[in-house]
Amino acid sequence: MGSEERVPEAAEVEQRVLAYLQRELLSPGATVGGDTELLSGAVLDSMSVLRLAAFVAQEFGIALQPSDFTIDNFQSVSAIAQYVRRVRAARAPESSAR
Amino acid sequence: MPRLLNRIIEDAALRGPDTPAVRCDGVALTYEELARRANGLARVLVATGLARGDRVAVWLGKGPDVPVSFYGALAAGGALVPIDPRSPLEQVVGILRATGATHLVSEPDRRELVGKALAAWPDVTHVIGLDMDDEMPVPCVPWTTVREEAADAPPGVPVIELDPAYILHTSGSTGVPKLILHTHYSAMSFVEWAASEYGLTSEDRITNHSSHHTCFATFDYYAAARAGATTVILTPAVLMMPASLSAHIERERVSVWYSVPAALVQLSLRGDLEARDLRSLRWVLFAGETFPGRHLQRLRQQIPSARFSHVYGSTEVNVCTCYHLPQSEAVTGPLPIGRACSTARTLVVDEGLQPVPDGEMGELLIRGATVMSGYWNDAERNRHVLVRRPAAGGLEDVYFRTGDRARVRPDGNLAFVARTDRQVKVRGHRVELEEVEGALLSLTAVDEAAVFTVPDGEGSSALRAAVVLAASGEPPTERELLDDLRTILPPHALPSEITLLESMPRTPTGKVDGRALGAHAAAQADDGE
Repeated sequence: MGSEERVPEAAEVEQRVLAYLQRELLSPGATVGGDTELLSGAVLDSMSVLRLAAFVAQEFGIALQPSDFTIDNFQSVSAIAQYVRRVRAARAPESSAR
Repeated sequence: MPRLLNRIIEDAALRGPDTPAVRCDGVALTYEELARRANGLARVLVATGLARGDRVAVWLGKGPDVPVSFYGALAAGGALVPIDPRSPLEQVVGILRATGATHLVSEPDRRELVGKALAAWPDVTHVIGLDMDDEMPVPCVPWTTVREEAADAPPGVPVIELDPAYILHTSGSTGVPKLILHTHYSAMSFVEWAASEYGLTSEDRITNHSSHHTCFATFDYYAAARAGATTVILTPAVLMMPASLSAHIERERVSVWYSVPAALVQLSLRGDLEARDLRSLRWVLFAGETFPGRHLQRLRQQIPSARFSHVYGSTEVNVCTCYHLPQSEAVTGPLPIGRACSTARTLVVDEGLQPVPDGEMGELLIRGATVMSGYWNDAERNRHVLVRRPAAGGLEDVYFRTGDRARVRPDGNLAFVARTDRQVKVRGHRVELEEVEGALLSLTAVDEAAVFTVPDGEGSSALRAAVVLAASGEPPTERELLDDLRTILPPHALPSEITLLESMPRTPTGKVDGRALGAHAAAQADDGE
């Protein structure tokens, strides 16, 4: 379940998140890159954002805290990658087990 | 003085020219600036041929240009038609067509969509907010020109308070949204009640949470301005991230909040409220749906400074009853919708429209100053929902049929019981199940469709659909069906899941068996966990 010990590379996180967005959440024809503004309202609606957060938590073995739900952490795919790496580096994997 | 919505900011600009009227993402607009810009827009509208009562559609994302457009359209004597910025193109075209809008106010981000909308509905004569170019089929006036036209005085179009002020759109059962006409009088009746009931002052900072096409926004913008208060516009990014939202509330020293319960549940669960200083919040108003008890109780503990008010109404009548929760006292049992506001009379009636004794259930009727004039161009529906009852002097009173079943509780408060039709609330958004089924059935791949709700786990509901596919053609996936639906329905009306069935479960009488569908969905949810 993605809860491997090492901190994933940014490029790898971005790629997995982008694949999920394309597969599950984006409307047809919509394209996003690492820096696309995800929270403008034009790309995702609020329910999709919650699903995205749940995916990130499960895919990268993170226990989401309320303080994690910020624009800084989720405004783009590259921001999500930094967030994942920061949390994975700071929080021991065993404490993030459910 | 005539009670006109556009006069509100003229007054506010005189009393507090330098008070911020709106704040949004670090940008502030004072009342003086707002009034001057609105006057500029009004002048542009009049100069481009807008006549009294003509419809001005406003198709904008959230931002300071929204109130400029609202007051500008009103000061020009127009009837404002605010469009949900998340509406799919097809629905926007439907609204332009149905209202016969002659002027459209938009923004450069929507240029391509505006072009497509005008190709489908050519009766718009002018677009405000876009640069002129050869590809646009009608003349455009950019925002820079509107700002150059800024003026101290409005164009002086004679408007009386019984003239149309705005047409709001809400869910409709046929695919075309219901269009609800309010006059300056019905709007101002709500605005003045709200400003007085919640003691709004120029010190207040009032959030604009909801989209500006809803009746919630009439509080956020007009009632706020009536008090000379500041409207804090919450942008999609802030609304999607609860911890950023709570930080924003603290930083902006928000004092009054008004939204659907779902937004507050989200804030309570994921807003990191314990880490915030929210003592500036003095009123939290919620409407649109029942607030689940345990979530409400937790939120009240998280924001002990605030008083909470459950307001009830609909776009047709705006707020017509309210219940202020007793301070520092837990509320047990279902929350009532309260008592009639000073603007309204309530009546609970049987099927023959005769009043039922207190305590008995019936349909709730509303008579009052805030009731709409009627649905736009829909005489048949108006005959059905605006009913006449005999009054003293051989006269008649007009009542609005809410479609809500209610009863008067022993304590005198009204309790909402159920709907009389298939309208549901999805995280506070009003959705007609027939509308979603109709959208599914409009797809050639779909033979049969049933739409129903399941609990969303946070006190509200989620939409689910079950479909039987047509035998011919390549069968689409659930994802492809959803993508097609996205072009017809706004995001809140999209089913969160579509189940493909071999055949539709039916009761012995041949009706779709909603219970079996719900049980099926629940069983699937269990499997998934």
